[in-house]
Amino acid sequence: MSAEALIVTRVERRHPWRNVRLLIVAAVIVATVGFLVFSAMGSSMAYFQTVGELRAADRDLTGEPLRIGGGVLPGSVEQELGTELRFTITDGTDTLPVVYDGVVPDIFSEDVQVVAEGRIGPDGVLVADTLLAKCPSRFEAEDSATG
Amino acid sequence: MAYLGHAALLLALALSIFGAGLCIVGERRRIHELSVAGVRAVLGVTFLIVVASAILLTAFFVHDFSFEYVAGRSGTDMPLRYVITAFYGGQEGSLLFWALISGVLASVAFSRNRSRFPRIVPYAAATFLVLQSFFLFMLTFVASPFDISAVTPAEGRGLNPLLRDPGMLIHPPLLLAGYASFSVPFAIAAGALFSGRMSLEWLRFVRKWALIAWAILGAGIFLGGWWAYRVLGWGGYWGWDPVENVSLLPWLTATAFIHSILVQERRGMLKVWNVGLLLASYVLAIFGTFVVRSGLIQSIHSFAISLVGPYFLGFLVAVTLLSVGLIGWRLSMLQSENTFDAVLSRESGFLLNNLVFVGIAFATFWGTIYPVVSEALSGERLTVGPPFYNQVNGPLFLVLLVLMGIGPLLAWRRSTVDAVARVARLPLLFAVVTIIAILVLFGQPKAAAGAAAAVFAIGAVFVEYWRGAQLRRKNAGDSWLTAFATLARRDPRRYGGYVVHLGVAVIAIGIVGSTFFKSERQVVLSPGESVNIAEYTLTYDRLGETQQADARVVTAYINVESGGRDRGGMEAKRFFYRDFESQPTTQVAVNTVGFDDVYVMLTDWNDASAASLHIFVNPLVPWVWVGGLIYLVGMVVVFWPAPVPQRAAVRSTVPEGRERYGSAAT
Repeated sequence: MSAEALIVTRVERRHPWRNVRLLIVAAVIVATVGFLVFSAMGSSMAYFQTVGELRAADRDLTGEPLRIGGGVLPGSVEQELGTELRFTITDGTDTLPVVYDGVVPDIFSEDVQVVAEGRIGPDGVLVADTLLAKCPSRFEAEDSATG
Repeated sequence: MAYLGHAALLLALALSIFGAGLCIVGERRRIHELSVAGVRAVLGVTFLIVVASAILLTAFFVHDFSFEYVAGRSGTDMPLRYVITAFYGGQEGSLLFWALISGVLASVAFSRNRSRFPRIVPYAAATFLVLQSFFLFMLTFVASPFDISAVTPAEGRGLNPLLRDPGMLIHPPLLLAGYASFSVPFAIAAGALFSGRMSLEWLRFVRKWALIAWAILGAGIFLGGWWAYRVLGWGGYWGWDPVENVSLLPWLTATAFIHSILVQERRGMLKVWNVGLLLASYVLAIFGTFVVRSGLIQSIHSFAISLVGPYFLGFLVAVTLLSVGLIGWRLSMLQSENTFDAVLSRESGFLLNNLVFVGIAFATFWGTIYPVVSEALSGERLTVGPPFYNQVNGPLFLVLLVLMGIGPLLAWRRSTVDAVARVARLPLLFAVVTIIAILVLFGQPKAAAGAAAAVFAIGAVFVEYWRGAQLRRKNAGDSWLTAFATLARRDPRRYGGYVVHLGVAVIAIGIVGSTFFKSERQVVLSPGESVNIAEYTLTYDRLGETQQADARVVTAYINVESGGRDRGGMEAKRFFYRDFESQPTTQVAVNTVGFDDVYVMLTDWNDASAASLHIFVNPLVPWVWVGGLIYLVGMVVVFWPAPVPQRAAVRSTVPEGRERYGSAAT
């Protein structure tokens, strides 16, 4: 006899959720998840834009949390040992100066794609508190050279 | 050689489609021989994939740069171990690796269980072969690792330096293998739904393979954290990056599954939920691969964005529709046989744990895809960062830890508060002491809550072991040691599971410590200068430069002292690999002193040998790694073959003490 011969026959339909108290506890958990998601969204949302989109925006985004993606403009990188890093981020047309004081990723260099998170100050410079550099592609050799 | 590899894959594709057809026709027409042949086709397909993999691996060994794939990611001066890494280091190779792993696992699963499940396995094999056909199609027509370049280069381009790390030898293959291995439980579940045979024995079959997939994926994620900590140099092991998130999703749903399946086994409940979780785990594994490969979401690890994306999207949609359709079609077979009797019961505990796991998965999924959703809805791309995940998932993981402690102490069907309080007394006491101690010493309520929950869970594991051992000592007169060993041998699932719980709680303590008590400093030092951080004094000695076969290495030599004692030297390095000079890679120096990790990264230096150092003191990070090891030990216990007589008993009937209520088992 094969093990599958134990087919479960149709059982009279009983609703597994009849327990009201359990339903309440489950509802509390679901509501908690919903509330946590909702409240955390408000406090950690940031606009993700390219420099061009930033320039084209209708509203003034000075002081808003931003996440700007683009390439590092060749020749724009300035950093003395132990000082903050200054460079310009570009999408090919528009540019945005960035200042950053923190761990510079290994692969940060000219022409690399980066994502800078921070706020634009009154002087129009993005003060970044996070700088991420994108691996050209993590598992590939430098493909950008050959496409 | 390349043609041979290509031919093997084409043949595998043809055999795959043919085998699926055989299975289906064999089952529909009740021709047993056809079904058997169809299931055997899984072995044939896997054999051909093994042949193709062997050819590719050989090409790497002999540095055959006529293969575009080999030339693109290896070089003659690379150490052998990284030449092997390069096998799965690219799109094409990783697809081949996926097909290889899922093929081997499916071959074992189906050939060992065909006679036990003569109706389910053919359908499972058919489902699997269809899934495999997709990968074989990709490997032959879209992304072939056997493409030949017109001109054979004299030297390969070498592997991306970030991947030249021992952690990379095992992390990507384990993660990929984890994703790939979910195709086996998926196929088994689909086979059961197609054939309409969902017995108790089938549950054990599918659970075993889900557990294997879950264990592999978990190990892959864990090693990813270890690699990131040692190589990326930002002082952490988990950054809530989209690529990390999508690997966590199937792990979360699978973790929920391996818990809630126990409720189905025991009480015949939650059937739709369970099969839904299992199918969703595979769908999420495909989703993860799609997100990673398509560039849909901005991530710091954007892999080669390629033609593969749209194909994976199509596959994702097809697999999702299949899953939903199958469940909808078989809904009448998935009725619950029981109801929840009480809130305070083991099954309710499992249900709540499931809701929290799925809640975490939902929040993580939502945060990850939010840029896409918000752009579609409002035209503005909004993203959420790590704070979002910490705020949402932090409290939810806390609830899970508490449930992990209470759950095993609850009785099936109905428990009383008194009974639970009696066994939970000691763990609860420890938890309260922990809370008070941390509040008094550090004044950090969040850290206190996290640590207390972990301590409670650890206490509960010990209580469970102690109770079991006590019983054995009384009944069988065993010594303590024999009692413990027998427990794990007699019920490896349960007691191995508790070891896993212990590992998770230890990891949680490590996470609490390194999240809330981290110190960080960025300094520029000249040789001979010192810096203080936490209770440590670091003295920068000198800068050195050496040359190795494939790279130039710059090393900062640092000495650590604390409490007036020398804690040893540290070497923070930067590697400049040949052909990748613009992309120096870091080798972080980590010095574990007691429970603290002193973690130094060399960020920059000048001609006068002054070095810019980024220094972290990460308390309790070693606990994370130790917890991971305990977790692995737990997995070994779970999978340790049960003693022979026990196994015979399991085969013939429902095992002792696992009687099932309300099922019409014959």
